[in-house]
Amino acid sequence: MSKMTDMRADRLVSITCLKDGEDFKLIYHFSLNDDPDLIAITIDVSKGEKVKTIIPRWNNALFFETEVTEFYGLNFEGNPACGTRLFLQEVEK
Amino acid sequence: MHECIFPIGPQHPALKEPIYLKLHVEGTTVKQAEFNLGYAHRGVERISEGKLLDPELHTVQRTCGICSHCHSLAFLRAVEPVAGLTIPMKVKLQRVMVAELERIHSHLLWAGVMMHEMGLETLFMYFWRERENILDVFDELTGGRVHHSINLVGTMKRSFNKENLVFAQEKLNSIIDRVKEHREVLENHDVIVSRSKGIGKISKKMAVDLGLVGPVARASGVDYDVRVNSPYEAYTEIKVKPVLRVETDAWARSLARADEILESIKIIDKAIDMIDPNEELPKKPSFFAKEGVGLGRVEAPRGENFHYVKIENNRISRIKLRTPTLANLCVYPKILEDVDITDVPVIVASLDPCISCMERVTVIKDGKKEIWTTHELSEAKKHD
Repeated sequence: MSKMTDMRADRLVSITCLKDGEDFKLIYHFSLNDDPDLIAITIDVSKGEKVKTIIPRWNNALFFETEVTEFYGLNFEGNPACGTRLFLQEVEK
Repeated sequence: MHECIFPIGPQHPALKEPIYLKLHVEGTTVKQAEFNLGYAHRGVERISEGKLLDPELHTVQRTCGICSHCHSLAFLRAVEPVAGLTIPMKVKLQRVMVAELERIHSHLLWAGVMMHEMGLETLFMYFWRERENILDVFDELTGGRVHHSINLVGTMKRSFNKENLVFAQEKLNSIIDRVKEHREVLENHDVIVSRSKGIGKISKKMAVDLGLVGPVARASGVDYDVRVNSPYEAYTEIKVKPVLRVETDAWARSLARADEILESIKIIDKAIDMIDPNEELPKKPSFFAKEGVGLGRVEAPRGENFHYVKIENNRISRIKLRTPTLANLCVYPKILEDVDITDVPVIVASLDPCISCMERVTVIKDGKKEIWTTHELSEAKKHD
């Protein structure tokens, strides 16, 4: 993760979560302004493992990570929105 | 000063789609803005899993009622390379033509909504009158005014003939002067200028830091357009001139969209010139995509639309849709801080959010435990 936050990329395009048995795969897609192709980085996440947030480097990860948390139950360490619902907050009450 | 919470939505006359805005106000100044989503959620991603690629196109393009063609295009850009299909130039040109018509339609619809938020109902009707012409062109070219459903994997359902192209050209010629007049009004009308100039500023640095996309980013001077930076379909042959502005406010976003309408008309003109009306399109190819991952990116009217599609045995194993509104979502709390509450509708409208488009995501877990199947989703729909 630390290598990822140091790499050259202009924009975080998306974070995709895949279910891999009991575990998960997180795919980060980045774009460069001078390159027509995307950069994809996949990390394996074990069930219950916490993933370090990339918000300090890419602010727009906030809602991408929150969405993954909401639908897959993964926790992102350092994401201030983790634990609050993105969709239909009143359902929880 | 006493702070209170001012709720807007989820159902409110100022909102074209359901979103719940919770504004913490001191006097008439918004100190903090929170929002709650999920009222238009349909579970498109979950429904798509396990489906064959061909019928799945129908679901994907119904993610949005305004940019349905862009969703099907992004999906096809992901799927067609995995299926090993080569796309003829006429198909590529027709796809670009419909995509640009969709951009004009979306921006005209948006302009009407923006005028409505400012209380300018006559202008609202003028913009929507022009939009009707574009819907007529859709009707002529695709048979559908809103959901065009013209794309197929590897080809398109209809080949545009000479009458179709002449009809489209005449309709566009009939609106171009009026669109230019309306653009002048957007630029100079006293009420529009006073309600939008200097309001809702997003600096270029903020737009880059937050990874904003589409006209919102370009109105802040960010030179990024998928059609230019990663050309696809016939955009490799037809060059696009991105509309950039430096003012960074709601007024700039209005003018950026108005200029994009004019740019789209030029692109369609070029596409019409390049299309051979007598050429027949290939029939729907038979294919079997055994395994692979495809990525599709297109420049939708609101910005970059991204599809991730994982395929196994000609069926979708996982699909992820990242719509432009989700990419632009992180700017809302920041842009609504320390603004006057009367400016909130204009600022929100200037970002052109498409809530239904964004809330397509899969329901896997409601916090901890529940997994919804397609059957359960359809059962839930029956109980609505």
